[in-house]
Amino acid sequence: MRIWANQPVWRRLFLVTGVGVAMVMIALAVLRIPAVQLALLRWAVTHGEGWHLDATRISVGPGGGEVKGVRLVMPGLTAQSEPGLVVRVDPLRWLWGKRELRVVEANVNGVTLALTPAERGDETTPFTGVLTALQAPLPWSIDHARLDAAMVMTEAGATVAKGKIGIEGGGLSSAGTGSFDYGLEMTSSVVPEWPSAGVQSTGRISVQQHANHGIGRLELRGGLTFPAFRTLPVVTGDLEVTVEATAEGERYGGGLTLAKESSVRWSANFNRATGRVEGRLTYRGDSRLVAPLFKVPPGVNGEVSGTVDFSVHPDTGAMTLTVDARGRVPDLQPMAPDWIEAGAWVGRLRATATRETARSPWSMVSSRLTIGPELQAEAVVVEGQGTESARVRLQAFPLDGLTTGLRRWGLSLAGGRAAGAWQVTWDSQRHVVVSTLTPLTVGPMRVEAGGKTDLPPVSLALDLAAQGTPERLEWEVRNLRISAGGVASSSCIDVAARGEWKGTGGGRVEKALMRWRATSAPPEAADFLSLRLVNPLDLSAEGQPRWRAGQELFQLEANEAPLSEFAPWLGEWSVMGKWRRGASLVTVADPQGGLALRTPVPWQFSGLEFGRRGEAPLWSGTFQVTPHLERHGDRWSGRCSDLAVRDSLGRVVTGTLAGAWAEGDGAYQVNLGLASTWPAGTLGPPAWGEMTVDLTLKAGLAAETVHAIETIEVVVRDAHGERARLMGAQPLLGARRPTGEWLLSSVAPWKLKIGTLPLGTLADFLPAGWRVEGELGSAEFLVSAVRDGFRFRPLQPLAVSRLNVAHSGTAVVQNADASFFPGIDLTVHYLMQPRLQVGWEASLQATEGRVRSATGELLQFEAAVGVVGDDRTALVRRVDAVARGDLSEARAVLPSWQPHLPSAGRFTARLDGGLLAGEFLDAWMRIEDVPERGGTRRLAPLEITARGKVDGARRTAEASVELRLGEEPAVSDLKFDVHFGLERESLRITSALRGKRWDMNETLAWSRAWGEPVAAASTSPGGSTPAANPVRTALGSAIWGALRGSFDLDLEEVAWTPYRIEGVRARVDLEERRLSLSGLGGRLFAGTIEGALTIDYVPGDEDGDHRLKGALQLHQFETARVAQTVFPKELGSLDARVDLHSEVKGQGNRLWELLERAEVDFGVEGKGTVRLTSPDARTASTLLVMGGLVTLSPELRALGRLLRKFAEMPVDRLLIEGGRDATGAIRLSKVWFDSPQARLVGTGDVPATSSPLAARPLDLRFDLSARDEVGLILGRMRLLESPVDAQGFRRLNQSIVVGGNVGRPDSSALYDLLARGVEGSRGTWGFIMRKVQREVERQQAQAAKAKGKAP
Amino acid sequence: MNRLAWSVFLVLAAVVPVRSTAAEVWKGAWRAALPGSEKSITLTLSQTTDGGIAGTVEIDGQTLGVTGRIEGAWRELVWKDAAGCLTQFRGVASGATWSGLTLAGGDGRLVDYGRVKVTRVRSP
Repeated sequence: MRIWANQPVWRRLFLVTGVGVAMVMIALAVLRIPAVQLALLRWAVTHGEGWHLDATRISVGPGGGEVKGVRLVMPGLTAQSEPGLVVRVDPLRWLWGKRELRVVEANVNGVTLALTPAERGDETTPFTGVLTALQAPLPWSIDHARLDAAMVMTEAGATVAKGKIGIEGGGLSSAGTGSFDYGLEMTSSVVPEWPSAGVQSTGRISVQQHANHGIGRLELRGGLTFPAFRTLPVVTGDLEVTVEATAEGERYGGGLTLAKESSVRWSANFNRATGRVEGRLTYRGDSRLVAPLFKVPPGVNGEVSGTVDFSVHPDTGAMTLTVDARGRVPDLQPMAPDWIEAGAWVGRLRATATRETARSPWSMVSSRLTIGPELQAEAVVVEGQGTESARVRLQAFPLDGLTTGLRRWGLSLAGGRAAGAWQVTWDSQRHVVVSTLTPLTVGPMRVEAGGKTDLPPVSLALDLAAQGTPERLEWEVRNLRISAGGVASSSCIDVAARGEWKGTGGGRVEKALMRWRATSAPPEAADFLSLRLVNPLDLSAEGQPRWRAGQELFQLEANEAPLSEFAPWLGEWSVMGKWRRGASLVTVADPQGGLALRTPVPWQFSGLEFGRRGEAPLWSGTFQVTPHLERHGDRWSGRCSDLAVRDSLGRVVTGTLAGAWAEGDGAYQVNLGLASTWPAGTLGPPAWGEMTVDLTLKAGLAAETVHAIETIEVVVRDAHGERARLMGAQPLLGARRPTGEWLLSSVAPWKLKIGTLPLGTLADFLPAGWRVEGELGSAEFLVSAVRDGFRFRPLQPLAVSRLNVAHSGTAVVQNADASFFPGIDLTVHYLMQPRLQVGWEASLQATEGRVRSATGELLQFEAAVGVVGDDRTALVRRVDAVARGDLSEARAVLPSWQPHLPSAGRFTARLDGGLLAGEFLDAWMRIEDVPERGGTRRLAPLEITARGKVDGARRTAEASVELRLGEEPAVSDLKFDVHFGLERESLRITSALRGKRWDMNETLAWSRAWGEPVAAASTSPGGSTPAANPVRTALGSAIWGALRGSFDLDLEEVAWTPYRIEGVRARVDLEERRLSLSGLGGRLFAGTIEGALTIDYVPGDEDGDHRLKGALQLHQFETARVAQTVFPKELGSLDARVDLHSEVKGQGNRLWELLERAEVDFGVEGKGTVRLTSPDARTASTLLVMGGLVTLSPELRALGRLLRKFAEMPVDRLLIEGGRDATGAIRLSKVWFDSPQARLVGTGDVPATSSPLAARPLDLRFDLSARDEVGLILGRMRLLESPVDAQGFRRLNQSIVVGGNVGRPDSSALYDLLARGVEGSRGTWGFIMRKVQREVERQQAQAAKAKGKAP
Repeated sequence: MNRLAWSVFLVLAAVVPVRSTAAEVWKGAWRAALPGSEKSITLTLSQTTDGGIAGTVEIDGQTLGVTGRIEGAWRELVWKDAAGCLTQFRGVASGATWSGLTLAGGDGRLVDYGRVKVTRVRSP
């Protein structure tokens, strides 16, 4: 139908125009209808499912529009604005020009954006890109726009974040880039205490359109400021976000840099075809950024970096995340400098997780977390198994780093490693189960505790299990087994605990039990030791217990607990025995955390053995104590009642120990009351019987650093009463120096009383064979503390009365009384580090010391001995002593010394010097007023001086010794060095024995005096009459005593009156039982002396325990000198140079006995110039010769020649052989004079007398033979027999007797014979000879008369 | 005054000053029993007519009177300081050395021990 076909064109045109206008008007009118505008707006805006738009007023016109009360609802977003949106556009741009929607002004105010992300994820609203939401069908531009909005993000009905944003800017057109300044501030309630200022960001957003009127690129650059949060300062950073439309979708990029230390950068692409956003996030973090927040200590600069690859399907929420994170902490030690020494640690997390939708749970595809030291990165490996289980492994986890923390307990670890594996599972309810796959093993590690480095390497093994939620967790350690040195203990420890944790609400430990039991014991068996939580223990939010006064907490029970299990930890010490029984209860004493330990069942230990490992126990016995302890704050108080200790010897200690102390200021108070019983022999010798010792002590902290023993009393009693008592009524104060040593001071001295002590009761302390009788008198000391030591001062002398000491039945000391004032200065030194070392120094004083015998005073002395030591050793450091005494009294007191002591005499002695550190020790002694044996003469005083050093380590001493005998100028001296071995008490001469002069006579006199015979024990009832036959006892040792060594003898002169031996040299060897004198040389009587001798000591020989044997040769000595020495005023009668050889042997107990009782076989031989001279004969001969000259009588001249020949008879050979017996008598078995005209052959004797040999009487009988002139003269005197021997000698018809002395033979018998021969003659010969005879007799009478006048 | 009287006078005049200067002098150290204190000591002594000895003891500059006796090598001395502390010294002299022990106390004090060692620097 064409109704317009017949109408004119203008009508048609008008009609059409009119209709058109009408339609437009209608349309416009319709469009002006608010409902229509609202509908159109909804059509234009609400594209997706769930979208909803509402407005209270809409007014849209050509030049703009206004919407009020607008509310736009989208899934996850609700935008609401009461002021609404006011937009002013340029309508002409629709008609002219570029024809675009030009928004001149757009204001959006009062917008409230409510974000609910949880409501997103609907598949019906596919994500097409960020920029596609801003697409427009027409070209458009914005000159100026302003938006003010508040944002609220809610999650599960709760506001999690809120903020406001303001955007203002413009200039956006298809040709130009719009620039909008924005300001954003967001706060969050998710983070507790998040500051109200919130996160702020300001910057600029640049927007570019693309050709299809949409947003082609959006770029945001701005600053980001995080407010100060807790300890975290304000952190600023830069934010960059770019969104760019691409042909495939969109590209995202950007980054966040905070403080130039941490940054996150991301890069992703949205592929419209796949609907996925895939990209990578790269991050780098530094712990310094958050260090203030977590209070990370300085020095811990952890770094973390890594990537997160993600693939997200925004429509479904499906997401795949692949995380590779690495972290490194260069040094963990600053985290806990007192606990660990860890070095650098690294960690790495690699995980891949996916989820199907935004609401579906995450699924862990793979995960692996490794943590460890830098050199062992995989010490801890966590391998995830899905999202609800993981396997945790420890692989040789190093424990060395824990040493730092253990040092506070004196422990350190070396070489320990931990290993184990656990399966950890959890579920969505956060229920966690930890079960052991492989037991946790720790070790072997070497533990050093308390400076002890010899503890065995230790290994632990245990099963660890746990289950529950973080709020309520049960954990259990089972089968804790400990092995030391590779030996596993026979017991194990189980620990089980259960509790819950409610976060800020605190928590509770419902059950806790520790059981120590035998490994092999069945479960129902009683535990060795158990510690059980009796009632649940509530915990505060800070983890502190919430105490309820009176609440019972723990119960401790012991039941036959073997203490030997602790053996590996005691080093060199050993403890055996059992904690047999005991039960204690720990209760809450006050709500502030005070605890009390009550012991209803006493702790009983039995079979205890304590000592060093491998050695006999130092102590063994039983022990019982009932401890009660209480703690209030830092104050402790305690009491150990029913204390009972009994050792294997039956010693019992009972009593109570009570005390209180404070942890803070260290104040303490101790009250000790102990009573002990000591069976006979355990405190002192058995003779003392049972002893009791009671101790009462009160001590405490007197001031800040001053400790005090306020009172003390120690009483020792036996069956007879009190033995000793120490009383201290005034405090003894002690303060510790910074070095740990104590300074002591007593307000007033303590008093120590010691009762009398019968010395016989000490018999058990004496070596075998010794017996002591007497009484040690009571003593009383004042004891004071001075600085670091104690001083003991006597109030009365310590007396020993009626002292008798015997050894093997022989009296050593008899009836002696002694007294002295004993004093002790004791100083104690100690070092606290690295271990306690105690040393002490003592000076022991004995003043006004006296030792008395029954008849007089034996000894007076003053002595001080310095001793140093520690807990094991005591060394005499110094000795100072002076003494003087009476030897005669010593004989009375020291009977065993009687053989060694003279009958009388006095001595004075001094000893002073050090015995350590190379100090000199000087000794000096003078013995004088010793009488000569059997006489009244006082022997020359003897002085012994020694100066030497003692080597304490080698227990030896070296000294130079000088002996001086006599006074100047006739002093004998000997010098030599000695080595004294203290171990064997050996004395060795180590140098030559030198002297200028030595008086042998005085030496022998000393020898006689010191070996003074002892009167027989039973003489007369009164005992005062000496025995008629003194008993000479053996010395019991060699006469050289302990002297040993080999040394040279070098004496310039030995005076042995009347002889003098010069240049005496010899080699002396001293052995235990032999003295050898070899190489003896010297000069005597112009001759030389050689020889050797030995003295053997033969103990037990009743005839004398020393045997002498030797040989002596004198070469070419002048016999005349011998005679001149003995008879210095007379000419020698036997003038010859002869050789003498002798063999000596003897036996006796003393040196002088050996010499006096020596038996000698000797021989004398001379040649050439032996003259037998006689002054008397020479005078007579001269007279006869002169008479012959005067009377011209040839007979008389012949007789004169004969007498001269007899007076001076050269002989070709002189031979004397003989011997000396033990009594001293000399037997001349052969005397032979061989001269050219006469031969004398005879025998003789020299009887024993006390005079020197040359002065002894001589009894010599000769047979005379003569020849030649002498034979002719004697023949004519009819004195010769007729036979002539082969040599032409005719024997005298009678023997000739020579008397007189050895040194002055009397040959008058010869002249008598000649005279008698003359009597038989006749004529002139007879006359002359009779005159001669008378003259001789007259001279003999004069000589006899002169002798008789001599005194 | 006859010649004999003059002679006696001259002899006495010569002898008396000799006796007054016939003192022996010993010097050394006085040490306490416990280490830590040491004093110099000088003894100037003369024999008295009754066999005793008298003189002075100089201890760290303080001079005190001293009396005592000699019995051979054994010697005993006693002196008292200004504070009333009495010191007894017993020792043995031989050659040029004289050493022994001291005991000091009195005036309400605990006894202190010590030792003296002196050497002769001048003979009488």
